Amino acid sequence: MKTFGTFLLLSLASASFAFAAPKVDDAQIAAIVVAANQVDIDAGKFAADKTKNHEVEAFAKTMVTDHTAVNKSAGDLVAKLKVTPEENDTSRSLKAGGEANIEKLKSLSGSAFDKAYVDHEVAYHEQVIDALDKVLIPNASNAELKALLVQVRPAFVAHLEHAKHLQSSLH
Amino acid sequence: MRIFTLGAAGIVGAIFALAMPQLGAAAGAAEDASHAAAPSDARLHIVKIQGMAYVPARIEISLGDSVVFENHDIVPHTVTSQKPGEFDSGSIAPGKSWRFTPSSLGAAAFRCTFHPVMEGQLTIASKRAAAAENPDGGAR
Repeated sequence: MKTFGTFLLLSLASASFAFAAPKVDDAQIAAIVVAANQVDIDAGKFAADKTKNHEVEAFAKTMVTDHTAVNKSAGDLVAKLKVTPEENDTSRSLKAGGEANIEKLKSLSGSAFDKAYVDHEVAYHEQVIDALDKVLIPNASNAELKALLVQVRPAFVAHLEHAKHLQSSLH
Repeated sequence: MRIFTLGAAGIVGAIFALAMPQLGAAAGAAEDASHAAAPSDARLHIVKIQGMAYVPARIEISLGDSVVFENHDIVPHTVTSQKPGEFDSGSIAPGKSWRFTPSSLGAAAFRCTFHPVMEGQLTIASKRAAAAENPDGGAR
């Protein structure tokens, strides 16, 4: 988990640096949003299938449902705005980190699996909220895109709180 | 296994639930934003679900009134009594709503089963008590 957390932190820190100059644009933000949500959808599907813990399963299914909804809203908006998501270092790093996380989870089972999945969820949501606040929302130039980012932020916060409660019950 | 401890509202609700008769319910399925008219002497109370919260989170109504929970978020939510079997909206999709008409006095804490950090409390009082406590709040 710490490896992934450090990886994500570095990715987003480098994103912050990169976004300072040149400024990230809406097409890049769209790609980051899609990648960030897809990473958690994939992890959630994997966890929901593998865990034997009902609370972890319920949480994982909620992650799949909610992040799918966010991605649908984002997809609808970028289509409306005629913006084509532009892959960038951050979106690529997020995808690579998500794949590495699932590879790690494949080697675990039982309570070790549950703890690793939930620990990752805590770190992931903390870093995404940080990125929303420091990178994505401030740099969004289209008002509707900015509004969507602001609108989805409470969901990430609720997920983080949920994950932390779950984490405390597992450790 | 319970993950979440009840907040203050939840504790108060639980105490009320123990002290008062169990809530009966005539609950509607999730519906579109247009709501059927309430009986002439009843009031319709609106609770918005937005920003991952119930707004307002504490609702006091009179027996015979209805409450409509409108989901303004982009993710689904539920309105589920924390006392098992009492009432449960099931999944309320984004843009949809759920109408609930309790059939007896009582009180209950509720939350979203998908997002347990979302909590609220519904109290059904006699008409006189509710009017004194909440003369206009949230009603249409």
